[in-house]
Amino acid sequence: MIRNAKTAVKFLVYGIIVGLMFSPGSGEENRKKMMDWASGSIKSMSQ
Amino acid sequence: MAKRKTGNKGMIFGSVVGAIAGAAYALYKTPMSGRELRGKMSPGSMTSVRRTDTSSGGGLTSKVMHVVEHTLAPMVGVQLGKTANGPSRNGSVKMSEPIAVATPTNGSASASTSDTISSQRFAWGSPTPEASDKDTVPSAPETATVAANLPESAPEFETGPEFEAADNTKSPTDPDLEAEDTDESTSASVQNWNTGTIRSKRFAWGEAAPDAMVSTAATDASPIASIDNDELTDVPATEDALAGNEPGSPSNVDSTVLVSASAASTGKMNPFPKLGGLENN
Repeated sequence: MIRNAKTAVKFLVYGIIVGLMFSPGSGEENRKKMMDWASGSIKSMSQ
Repeated sequence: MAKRKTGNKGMIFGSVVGAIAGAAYALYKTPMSGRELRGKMSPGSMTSVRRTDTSSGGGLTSKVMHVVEHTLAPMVGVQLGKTANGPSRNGSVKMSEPIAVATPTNGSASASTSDTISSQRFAWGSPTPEASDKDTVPSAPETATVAANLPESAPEFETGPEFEAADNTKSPTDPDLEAEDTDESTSASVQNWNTGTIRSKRFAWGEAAPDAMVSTAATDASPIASIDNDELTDVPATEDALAGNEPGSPSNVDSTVLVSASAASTGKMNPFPKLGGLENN
């Protein structure tokens, strides 16, 4: 169990590094895009 | 065997969940895009530096460059904020203006190490005034002190022949002393044995020495009022010369006192004046 937790933390760090290096924009821009994408998807599903 | 499969599934699930959570957190909190971040980490890209400065208002690289400029500028002689051909930012100094340099014309000022205005005045070709010599040559304090107390009509005060004739080592029987005593300044020379230098030089100016002065000086030099006749016979010429009389003429009291002073200086004196009872002729 502890071994699996260690592996999860290890890959968490790897994901943070990859996300920072290949982010399309800043965090604020990314959040805005995600909100726009989410709202548009909900509207299209409702129609 | 089943345990190992369960362990492998858990490790894979944990790694995938961890990577997704990490990437999501990074995308949610990252301050800049991935391209800018990569350019900032690589020092060779200038475009990335400019974009960093405009976006974040000054990065680490610009701060380092600022410190390096202010540190190396005084070492290489560069003034920050000024150009070679244009005015400065405040417009006070113009580097393009010619600089006036004075060339020395004689060697005196160039040899001088002072940067005062007087030294430059000589360097610009004007003749050297006499007042400048007084400024450069210091006067001896002792000479100035004595000269202030003496009249200006005594030019032989410094190196007069009378001053050199005053020799304390000569005895009354010395033939050189007899020749020197023919001068009028002999009394002054004798007084110079035990009196001050200024008094003897006052006689050297040509004035006749008063008798009272001679008697006082001789009395100070030798308290003995009498002397042996044998001692007087040893120095007849000196006695007459000191008194100002002709050789062979009877001498007065003052000359006797002077001779006694001369004898006292040579050690030929009567230690017991009362017991001796000797009188002068």
